Amino acid sequence: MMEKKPDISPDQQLAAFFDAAKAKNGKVNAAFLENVMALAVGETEVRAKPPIAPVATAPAFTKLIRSLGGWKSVTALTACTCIGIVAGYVAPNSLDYLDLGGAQTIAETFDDDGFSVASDIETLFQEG
Amino acid sequence: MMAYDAMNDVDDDVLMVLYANGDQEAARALTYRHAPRVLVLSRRMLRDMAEAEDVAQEAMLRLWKIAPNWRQGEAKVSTWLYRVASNLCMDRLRKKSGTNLDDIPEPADDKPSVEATMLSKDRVTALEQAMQQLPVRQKLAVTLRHIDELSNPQIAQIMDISVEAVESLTARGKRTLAGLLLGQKEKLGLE
Repeated sequence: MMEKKPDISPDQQLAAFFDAAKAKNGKVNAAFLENVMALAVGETEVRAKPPIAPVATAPAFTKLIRSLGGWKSVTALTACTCIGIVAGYVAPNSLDYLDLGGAQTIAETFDDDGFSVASDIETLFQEG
Repeated sequence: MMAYDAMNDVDDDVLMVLYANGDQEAARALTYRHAPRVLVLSRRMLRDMAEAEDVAQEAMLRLWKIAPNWRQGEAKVSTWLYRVASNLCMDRLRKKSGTNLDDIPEPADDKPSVEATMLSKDRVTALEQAMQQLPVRQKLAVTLRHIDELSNPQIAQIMDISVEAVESLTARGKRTLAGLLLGQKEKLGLE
């Protein structure tokens, strides 16, 4: 009579294969471990670097103001420009308010003298 | 700074804090503790040492990056690393296959190609060949459960699925493996 073999579960039967695979793990390449360590050092160095401060960038308008000498210069230039434009556009007789310090214009001087000379000559002719 | 040997018994969470504060010995301890296991898992999944090293280094780099924000007690470093490495491996396998992993059909048992290769391969190679026949998620679950010897709840965390789903994946995986391998026991010297 044949002796019946004991039933072995597939788990037990596969165990020999899994055990062989576990044993095959082998040694890990030292260079691989050093590479991993180098990555760790590199990451630490990246974190240690101070964050780069943002560079202040002036807008174009501010750069223009600076190139003209600052706000004071620009204010003075603007005022002078405005005065120049006003003086150029308004009627001359409206400029009477300008105080010329009592000085007469050449025309006024000529006109007065012309009249006075002419009247003087006429008087001389009449008197003979 | 503490010497590396003195860190052998230090908890992973503490090592993460130390590393975040610039302690390179803590990084060394974490590297020697976890990187080899991550590498082995990646190699099993990808069956390519160069690719496995890339994946393991990427996973470890992500660990270094997250160290300052590591929330102690929320996750185990090992579980977190396995999860990252598993996802990276699955991404690579997806790109290679060009198909959705969930769309890959269950393999038929007794593939002749595995039988043919087993004639000239040892048990490990035969297992690796057979594992290649598994859908990627089954392969990952079986690897984590039966080779890395993680618990089902740990695997559930790593794979972001329920414990029941892990049990289902490992059971189906083992059934397929048994079909592929056990018929060849005699040829592999297991009788």
